[in-house]
This record gives sequence, structure tokens and C-alpha cells, in this order.
Amino acid sequence: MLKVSIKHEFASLSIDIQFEAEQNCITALFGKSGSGKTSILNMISGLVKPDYGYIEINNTIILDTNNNIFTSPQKRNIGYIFQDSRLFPHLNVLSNLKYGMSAVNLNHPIIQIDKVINTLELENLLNRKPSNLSGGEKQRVAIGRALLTCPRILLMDEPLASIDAQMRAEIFPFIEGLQNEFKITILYVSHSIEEVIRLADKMLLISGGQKQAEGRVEDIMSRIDLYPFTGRFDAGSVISATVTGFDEHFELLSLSFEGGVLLVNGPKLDDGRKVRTHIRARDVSLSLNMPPKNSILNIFKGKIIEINSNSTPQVDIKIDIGIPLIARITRKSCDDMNLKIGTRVFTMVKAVAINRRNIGA
Amino acid sequence: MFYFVTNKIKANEILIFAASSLSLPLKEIAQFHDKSFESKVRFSFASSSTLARQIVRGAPAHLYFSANRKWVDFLLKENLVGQSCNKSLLSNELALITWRNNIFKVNDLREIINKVISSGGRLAVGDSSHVPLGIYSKQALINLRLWTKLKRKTAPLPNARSVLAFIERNEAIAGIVYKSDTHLNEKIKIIYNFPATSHKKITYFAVPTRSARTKEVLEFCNTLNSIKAKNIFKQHGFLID
Amino acid sequence: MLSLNNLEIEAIELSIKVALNSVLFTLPLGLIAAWILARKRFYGYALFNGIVHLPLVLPPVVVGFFLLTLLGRNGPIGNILKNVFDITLVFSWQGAAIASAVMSFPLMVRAIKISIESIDLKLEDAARTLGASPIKIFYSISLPLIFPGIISGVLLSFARSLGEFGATITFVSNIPGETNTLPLSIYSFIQTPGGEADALRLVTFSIIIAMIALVSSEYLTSKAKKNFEG
Repeated sequence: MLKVSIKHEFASLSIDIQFEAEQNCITALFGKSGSGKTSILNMISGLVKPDYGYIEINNTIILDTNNNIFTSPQKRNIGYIFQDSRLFPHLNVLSNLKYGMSAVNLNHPIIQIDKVINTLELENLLNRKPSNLSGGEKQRVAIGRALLTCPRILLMDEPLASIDAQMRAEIFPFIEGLQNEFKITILYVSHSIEEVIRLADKMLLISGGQKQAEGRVEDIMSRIDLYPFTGRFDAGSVISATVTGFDEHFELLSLSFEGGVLLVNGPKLDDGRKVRTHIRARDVSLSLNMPPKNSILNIFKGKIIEINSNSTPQVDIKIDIGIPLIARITRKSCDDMNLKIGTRVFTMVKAVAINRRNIGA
Repeated sequence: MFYFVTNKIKANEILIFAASSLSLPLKEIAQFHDKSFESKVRFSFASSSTLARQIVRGAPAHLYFSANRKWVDFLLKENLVGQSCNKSLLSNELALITWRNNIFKVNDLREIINKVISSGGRLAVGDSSHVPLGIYSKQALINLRLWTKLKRKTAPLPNARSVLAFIERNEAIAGIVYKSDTHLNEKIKIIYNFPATSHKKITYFAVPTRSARTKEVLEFCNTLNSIKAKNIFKQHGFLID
Repeated sequence: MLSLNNLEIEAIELSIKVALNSVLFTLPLGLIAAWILARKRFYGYALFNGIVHLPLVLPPVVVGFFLLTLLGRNGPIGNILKNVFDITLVFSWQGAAIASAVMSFPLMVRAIKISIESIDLKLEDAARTLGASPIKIFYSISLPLIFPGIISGVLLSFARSLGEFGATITFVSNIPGETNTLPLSIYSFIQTPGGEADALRLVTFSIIIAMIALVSSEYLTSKAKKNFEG
């Protein structure tokens, strides 16, 4: 359990934030560039000392400005994966990996080097120097290097930001795998909502150095009022569902959730698997009547519970179909259809993205 | 390189290259010379060897004033200078000096040298391979049959100023300088005067170079030979007849 | 033509010995001074910086006289050296090495300081998060990264020491077998009419030694840099 409470004045930003992160969970710090996320990580790691702060990890106090307690970064046992990997250029991959191992505190569960090399698929890279690695390979080594210090907590500062989309897709499984293989608490900083939806269990919305909201990813994403922070383009509902079947002929997965069943084109997954889906508001339309034969597979009945009315040409509407679902329509349509809170509607979901194939136990 | 120097010397100025040991008396002489004559005198004081080489390379000096016989002869041979213009013999003597607080039996040279050797210290001298002071010092020590004993106990230095520096700090227990160098120096004292016969006469030659300004050079030579100038030399510890 | 007599061989050996020892003095002290100047800021920083660079701008003879005053047996430090340790620096090759060390010190400091300043501090931050103490960071990260700068500093220092004249001759004089380094010997030859040929022989050897030092330093520096690639 990580408890953080820090206040600090930078030249262009004031940080004032309190939060807790659960053990063995991935907690995301999400916000725009410049919102202070990296500074918060720097203060948790001890690289920066805040004006005021209190930080406790698993009942050990590592920072308490009131009582003059400040554990130096090298003694905090907090792993840090930087955006620019920061591998040591004069050491090969194996030496980089082993760098922090001698300082390991034997009271913590040991992470074995063979397991790390296997999990991150580093076997063929061990003799190379960092200058001969691709961006993705560098980050995998950086992750391995941090893991091998058997950290209590892993901080990740936009580790995929400087990696191209294709490689990013390759690395996601590795980061997801960290949870399962090593049972480790992760604080993950990102300005990409996709990454957060894909990886995180809980998220904190950070803006202007302050916490705007905190909660499960599904809950935060279903809050229309937070869309200015989470980003309008990708705004939508995040829904956890369970695989209940696969139609071989049409290659359709059945995903069961509180609002019904989603039929999604997807790869075959085993029954019982828990997945996370992302339904973008712009992919959801509304109808007052049950539409006659049409091409949309996923239609759900529900009641409007919130309408975001400001003066933009588009309106975000939250519908309760058992769980909240967000739809985005034009203000004109909203007026024409005379939609109000309480109106019963049919929601048509045109596209469903399966983000996370494997939500941990 | 000397192009720039030439431009700085005005029409009625003469440039004299002189040995460092002559700097004090020559500056005084130049002062009263300049009052009486239109021609003005400028000096460059350095080691005789350096100055001679500069003249060889075309330095715009009008007079070379040094006690280094080797270099004067060399310049004469190369036809870069004429015969000396100072009529009276200007010469110097060697003095053995020590730090003012050291106790020595004055004038007992053998005793002094034995003390130097037994104390494990060194004798500060000019470098006998090329410094005139050193060459004369070596001659004197050879003639007094002390060179063999002292050969490995000397500290060869590039000029008199360095020798004085070592003696003033009592870094070398004794040293040999020109008598004129001891003038007005309160940190050191003379413990032995080398007889003039122990070395080749330390005579200074003022030789004019083969350059123009013969009138001005002649004027200065006359000044050098005047009684006033002779007195100034005497005051500074030089010998002049 | 290029064969040497004993005195000249002695001068060459002495020069190399003095220069190597001079580097031995300047390397650790230069490393410390470079680190302080590159990383620390404090009251009196400008003064410290000025003192370190003083030998670069002062006439060597002035430095020589200063050493004589300070380290001569009656000087404040020389006194202690003589009475407590029975060390006399004047008239000895060790003194010549010190004169060279002082004159070449600023060169060593500058070369190393530049490469310390080019270390990416973020690497040191990363090392800290991996549990490294400041000492470990120094020898496992900083030192390897500044190694090319150290090589460069050593070369410059060595070359400067080989050519050191003014401070040496003023501080330790020109004693055959003890302090008659190459520059002093060359000077003696030049000061004698007809000594040019001898001077030229020694000059040639000086150049050869300096070239060897230069070439090996280039080789070592590029090898050290290659360590960061491949």
C-alpha cells in the first residue's frame, strides 16, 4: 500500500496531491503534458524533495517533512522506468540488468534474473550495447533492470511515449505480464487514455498539479463531466465483460456484462476469460424506437440519466443500460428528439474495442 | 617580427641591447644623457646570448653592450658589429655571497668551501655552459683549484637574479655573483672577493652594430666615456679606470 | 647524426621521468578539482577557479619564484617538508616534477572538467533509483564516462611537462643528472654560439616523444569511446 501526500512549488506549477495506491495493482496517473505527473513520480522516488510531504510504503515511512525524515533515493527500493530508458551506454545489456542487484534487500521477495530474462524475452540481447538496441528493446531492458532490484513499487513514466505504435503493441503484453508474473505494485504515468484503459486498474486524473478525480478506470471513464480531462475524442465507456462463447461461423465473441451481451468480431478467447472493452461515445447512436432490421448487432435498451449540455455542437448523453453507456450525438438531434433525463431510448453500439484481454484475478 | 619594433623607434632614438648586469648604471646614465642631447636612448636588457642571437636575426639594435667575449667575437666575425667604443676599461669582479644571517669566516675561501660541502648544500652559480657569470665563476674556481671538489655541488642558474634569489632565501648556502650585483642588497653579504687574477678579465664591450644612426650612437658613446658616467659605474660596484 | 651522447640520453630519460611523475601528481588532484568546479557551486567559487587557472596565465618564471619561496627549505611548506620528512625539493628531480605539475595542472583540470560536464545527469539519477550510493555512481558510471577526458588531460599534462622550462629552471636550476631536462638542455645549447646542431638533435627527440604520446592518446581515446558502442 502506497500512501502519498505532497505539496511543492515549482517555477511554473504548484503540486498539491494526496492519494493511495493499492498493492499489486496498476494505478495510472493520467493527465496532459505539463500537469505535473512526472514531478510527482520524481518526488515519490526521492530524486526531488518536496516542500512538504508524507510518503509511506507498506507501513514504512520514507518521507515525512514534519519530522525531518527523508530516505535517499538509493535506499527507497523503488524501481523507476524512465521515458528515455537511461540505459548505461558503456555496459552491455546483461551488465545493465545486473546493475542494481547487489543492493538488493534480502527481506523482500527475490525476483530471479532468469525469470526476468524469459518474461521480457531478452535472451538474444544480453551481449549487446544499448546503442545497438531499438527503442522497444531498450525499454524492455529498462524494465528488467528495475525489476531486478526487487522493488516494492515500480514507477513508470510514459515508458511507451517514445516508441512507435507497432512496437507499443508488442510491449503491452510484457507490461501486462508484469502483474501476473511478479505481483508488483505499479504507478503508471501516461497522457494516452488508450494506454490507461489497456493497462490500469485504477486511475488518477491529474491536472494543474492537482488530483481532479480518482477511481476505477471504468467509473472514471463513464463520467461525462471529466471528458475535458480524459480527452473528448476517445471519450466513452469502459466495460468489463466475461467471454461466454464464440461463434465459429461468424467469428463473433459473446461478451456478457451487466447490460446484456456484446457481440464482437474478435479472436477466439476461452470461455470465462475476463476482458475490458472500450466503447467510444462517438460510436454510439440513439433511437427512440426499436430500429427495424439494420446492420448493428449490439442494441441495448436504457434510460437517459445525464445530459451534458454546453454550447458545443455535440452532446454527450449517459444512458443506464444496466451500467452507464455514453453516446454522443449532435445538439440538433437531441433537440429534435426532445431527449431529456428519464427518456427511454435504444442505444446502438457500432464498434467495440477489446483493450485488455486479460484482467488479472 | 622586428618590423613592428622598427616602426616604434623614432627617428632620433637608439636601441641598446645590454647585459642584465648593466641595467642599473645604464639607466641612470641614459637619464642624464637624454637631458643633454636630442637623441633618446632605449634599452633591451637580457642575457648576452639571447641578445646576440636577436642581432644575428636582424634585430634593430644600435649598440651591443656585454661582457660575453664569445658572443662579441662571434658578432665581430659575422661582421655585424664594429670595434668597441668605450675607451676606458669597464670591468667587474666576482664576489662570493651568502645569506646575511649565515656565519662564515670571512675571506678564508678554503674554509668556506669546505663548510659548503660538508653541510650538504649547493653553491649557486651561473650556468657555466652559457651564462657569462657562470663561465667566469668556473674559471675562478678552476684557477683556485676548487672546481673538482665543487663540480657536482653547484646549482647552475640562468642569471644573476636567480642566484640572488637562492641566496636571499638561504636556499643555497653560498653563491657567486658579480660585485655589482651585490650593490644595495641587504639580504645578502659578501664573504669573499675573488682576486682579479683568478679569472679572465670581466670586461664589458660596447660595440656598435652596422646600422644607421652613427651620429646618435657616437653621442652616447661619448656619454659613456664621460667622467659622470664613470662615477656612476663606480658607485654601482663596477671597476673603471 | 641522430646519435646521442650520454648527457643527452640522460636528459631524455630525465624528461620522461619528470613528466610521468608530474602527471602522477596532477591526475588525482586534477580529478578532484575538476569535479568540484563542474558540480559544486559555493561561496568563493570564482576565486578557486582563478587560482586553479593561474599557472596558465602567469609567466612560468614567476611561478618558479613562487615555488622557491613556498617550497624552499626556509619556506612555510618547505620548512615542514625538510624538518619533518627530510624532503628537499629544490635541486632535485622531484622538484622539477612539482614545477611541471603546477604548470600543467590547469590543463588537466580543464580537460577533465569538460567531460564531467558532458555526463548526462539523468544517468546518475537512474543509478540512484537502482540503489547505487554516490561512491558507486562515481566509479561505475561517472569514471568510465569521463575516461576519454582523463586520457586527454593526461596527454596534455604530459606534453606540457615535457616542454616545461621557466618554472623548472628558476625553482630547481639546471643540475646535470638531476634536473637537466630536455628543454633546459636545449636552452643551454642555443645559448652557445655554434650549439644549434646539438639543440636541433634534442629538439628532434622531443618532437618524437611528443608525437608518440599524441598518437597513443588518440588510440586510447578512440578505444575508450568505442566502449560505448558495439
